[in-house]
Amino acid sequence: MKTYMKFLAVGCTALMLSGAAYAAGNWNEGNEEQDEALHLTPDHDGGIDVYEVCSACHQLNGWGLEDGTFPQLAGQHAVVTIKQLADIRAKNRDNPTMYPFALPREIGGAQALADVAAYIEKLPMNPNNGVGPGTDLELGEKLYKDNCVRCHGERGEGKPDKFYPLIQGQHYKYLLRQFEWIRDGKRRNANPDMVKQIEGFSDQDMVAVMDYVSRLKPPKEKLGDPDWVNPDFDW
Amino acid sequence: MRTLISPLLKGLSITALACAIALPAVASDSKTSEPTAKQKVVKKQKRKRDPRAKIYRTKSCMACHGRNGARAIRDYPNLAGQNAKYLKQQMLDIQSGARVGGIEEETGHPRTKGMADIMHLVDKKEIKDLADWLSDLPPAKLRPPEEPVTEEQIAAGKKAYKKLGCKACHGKDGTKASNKAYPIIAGQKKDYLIHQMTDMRDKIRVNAKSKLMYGVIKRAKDEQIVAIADFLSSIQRKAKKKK
Repeated sequence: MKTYMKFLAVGCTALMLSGAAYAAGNWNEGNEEQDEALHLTPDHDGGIDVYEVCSACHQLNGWGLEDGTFPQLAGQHAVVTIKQLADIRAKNRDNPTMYPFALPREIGGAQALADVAAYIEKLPMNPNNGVGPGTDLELGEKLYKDNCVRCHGERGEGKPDKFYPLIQGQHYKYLLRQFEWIRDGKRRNANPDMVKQIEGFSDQDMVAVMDYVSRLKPPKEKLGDPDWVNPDFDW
Repeated sequence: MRTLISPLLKGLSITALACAIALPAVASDSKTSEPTAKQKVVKKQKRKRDPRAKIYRTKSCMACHGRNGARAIRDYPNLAGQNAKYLKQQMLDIQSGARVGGIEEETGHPRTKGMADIMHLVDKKEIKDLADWLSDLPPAKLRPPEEPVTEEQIAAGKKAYKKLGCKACHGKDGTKASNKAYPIIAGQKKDYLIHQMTDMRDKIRVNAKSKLMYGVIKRAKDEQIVAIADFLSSIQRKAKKKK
């Protein structure tokens, strides 16, 4: 209840201060559970246990679906996964399909978050993620370099110390949907700096830049074999 | 030279001897391990279940409705042993948006939203396969209620079930529907039953055969709905006899 009130308070303040609050960066206020999870030592077997639930949608290999319904989780920075789970749990990121699975009664508390996030980070990534139409890649590259590189890195590798996600190798359609939601204010836990950065993007810009990102390949050592089967779930 | 070669030869012969000794052992090893490897393959093939089960697992149905449709989470329904015709229609209606649930306070979304958002993952054929597969599975085993339910409450539910005339369509104790397009409601989860009865009374759930419920359910008071749900959710359904 306490954390809920805190979120409510944060939300109200953000509303009142609007632009000013954006600059202050209330997007990652976090909560007690997130902070706790970030400081726990993850347990591998615990991660397998929790991941079984996730796998029903994100697949046993963590590669998601090419049509973007479910994103690839494999290889994501643990801190990012923890933040997103904590945000969905706190209703700070709207996701009706996933919501129940972010709840402690389905997956457990802070330790479970730490375990599963560490497990996901080590999963080898999909070498054949879904990509865009490939029609406007020059524009995409230019837009990426001018707008995205500072936070998401040259190769879309993100910045774990700042909770910036790894976006390389992600399915195009998922990227597109999230980008649009961030631009249009539907994804509430977006970084306000990013919302500001991309507010002038047209639909064409959006397609071009996400197409470019979907083609940023993870380094070889992060990639799995195309036929890789997760040995932790032999059933 | 000879002095060099002979230990070499000796070494070789020892290796050969060792090989000769080891070989039969290896061979007999592989003799015993070969069938087990084969057995493993057979076992794996056996485990490769019904292809319809694969749809259930890979299109994320299992996440919410549980293994074999019998361990649904939250207030989501168990599906195992449900009438195939009913299941198929409900899936199609959630996919098209014809079936909408009441608003879930916790999230502010209709209860059907989480499923509606992913129903593009299955086509008509897969929906039919899923419905057929699920209807043949043994119904869920009863799990103890979160809060104990008194005998009086169950009796009150049974009475209300009778008084409202639910039996006409859902059969004795909700165990057999008079039409395959109607659901079997015995053994279903309490909260799910409450939400469905309430949603139909409030005309939020209007899809398919829902309107046949209106005349009856409009007379039901909140406490009767809860009692009926307590009664129905306390009944253990029997598995269908194998054909």
